[in-house]
Amino acid sequence: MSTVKAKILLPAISDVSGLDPLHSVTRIAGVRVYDVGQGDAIALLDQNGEPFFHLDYGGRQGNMLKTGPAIDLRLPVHRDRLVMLTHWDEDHWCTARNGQRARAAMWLVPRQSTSPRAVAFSLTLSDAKCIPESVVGIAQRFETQSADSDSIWWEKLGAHEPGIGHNEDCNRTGVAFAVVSGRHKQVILLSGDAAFDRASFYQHFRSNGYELRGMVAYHHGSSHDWRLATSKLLEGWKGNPTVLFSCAESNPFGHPNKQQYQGVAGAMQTTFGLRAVGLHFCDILFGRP
Amino acid sequence: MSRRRRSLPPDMARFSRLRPYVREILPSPRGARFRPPFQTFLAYSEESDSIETANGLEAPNGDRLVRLPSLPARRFRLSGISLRNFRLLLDAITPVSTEPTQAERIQRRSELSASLSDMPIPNFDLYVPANHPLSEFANAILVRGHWCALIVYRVEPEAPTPLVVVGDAQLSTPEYFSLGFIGRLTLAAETRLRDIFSLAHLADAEFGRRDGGTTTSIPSPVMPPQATDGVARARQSFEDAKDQFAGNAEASGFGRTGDG
Repeated sequence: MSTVKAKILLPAISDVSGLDPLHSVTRIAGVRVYDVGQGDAIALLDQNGEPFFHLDYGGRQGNMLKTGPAIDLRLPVHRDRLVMLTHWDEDHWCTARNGQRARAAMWLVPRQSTSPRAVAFSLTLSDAKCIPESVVGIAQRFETQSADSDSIWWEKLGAHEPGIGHNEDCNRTGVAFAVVSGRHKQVILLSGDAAFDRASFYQHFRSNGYELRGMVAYHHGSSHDWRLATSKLLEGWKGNPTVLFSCAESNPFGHPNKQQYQGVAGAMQTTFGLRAVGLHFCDILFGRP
Repeated sequence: MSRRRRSLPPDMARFSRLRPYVREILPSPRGARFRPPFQTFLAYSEESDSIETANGLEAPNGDRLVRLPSLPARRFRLSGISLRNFRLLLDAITPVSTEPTQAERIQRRSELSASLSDMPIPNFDLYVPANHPLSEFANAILVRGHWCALIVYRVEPEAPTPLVVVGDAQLSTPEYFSLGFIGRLTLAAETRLRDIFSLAHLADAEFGRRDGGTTTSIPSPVMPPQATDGVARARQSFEDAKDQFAGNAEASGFGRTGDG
């Protein structure tokens, strides 16, 4: 393929400013996607099925979680854990504004063009650090120290250009994640609002025979930015993936567009569909069909 | 010229105070009328979406919309501060370099915390009907990540102008306005706003690495570069829109106000 080039893979990260995000984690069991209406709030689960790592903490339209106690109870975050943000759109962080526990954790966030509301929110975080721009475009990973180690891969997809001459689309300069089970050789894709093919490191897993276990549909199942490269990445990828749509049942944006996942998904689930059966989250676990 | 300025009513005079920060003032579309009192904001363009149906349409604070826009429409979600508060921030926030020192970050955090703790930063949802003459101009000027000047006034039930719904979780009920003006900011004003509302107060994380790790390479597709000529396109559209609305400016008197 003439369009393929080599990309650097650095040694795994052991700590973020002194915090090991995988301390006491021997295995990654899977991913938990919370029903927060329109937006994303995701946790990774450890060997005991407990959340230990958080991606986004949002949910705006149709979010049932309004008060601090309800948020802290339903979306639990321990103080010594890491919260990472895919990007600064408000539906990816705004639930943390009313809760207490998430804001007490360490946040690792992308440096991006930010709204005044996002900046005001960032001031309420106990400990927030930015991803250095020096690692933009270079896949990073946290990994467990056990045999057949599990890992969290992530990459800041684009550079922040603060000057006025640049139109920064924060969906494309944010962070995309892949959660990987070494034992099962499976991967779950979590790309925030970026089309999956924007995360070029995803191709690594497909090329190396990893089974696609599941994904949270990017941008809440939007059709925006879905292109040929997106289809090419997903179609024919080994596995029978669960596709989860994190959006409000009634939204004016036309989310989700399930049609574009028809040829890809083994199963589809919406977060708003969970409410009807009294659930507030859905897990995608490794090792299951 | 000076006689005209002295004769401005209070709301018009308030508008004229925006002039130093605004590069271009364009009027609302034909038929809009001047209905004080005005409120003047500087607003950041967060996102825009095509809205086809009123199903699930909410105000920024999550309330159901009491007043519905004409659909289909483009909804621009903005957030911002009043002109008055911008003036306060100009004095309160010290500019920082593009690569701030730790001392500068600490100072910035302190200044922001003191200034923003009680400052309202509402959302503005601007609905521009798809076939509205302002549509192209709005698309050109409300580019995601850019700032603009926004002047709104109390909505009239039969008002033909684009609807602006202002809301926030901290507001008990959303407020409904008509769009009075949108305008681009001067380079100086936008640069200052981008600096104030940046993450300059946050330091970069430091990453420890596992011992004995190997540096290898993985294959990846070459991605096409992100388009960077969006501003040029937007500016051209802006110029086009400006021509289109020049007649309206003259007819409405807003252009004369701007000259004052």
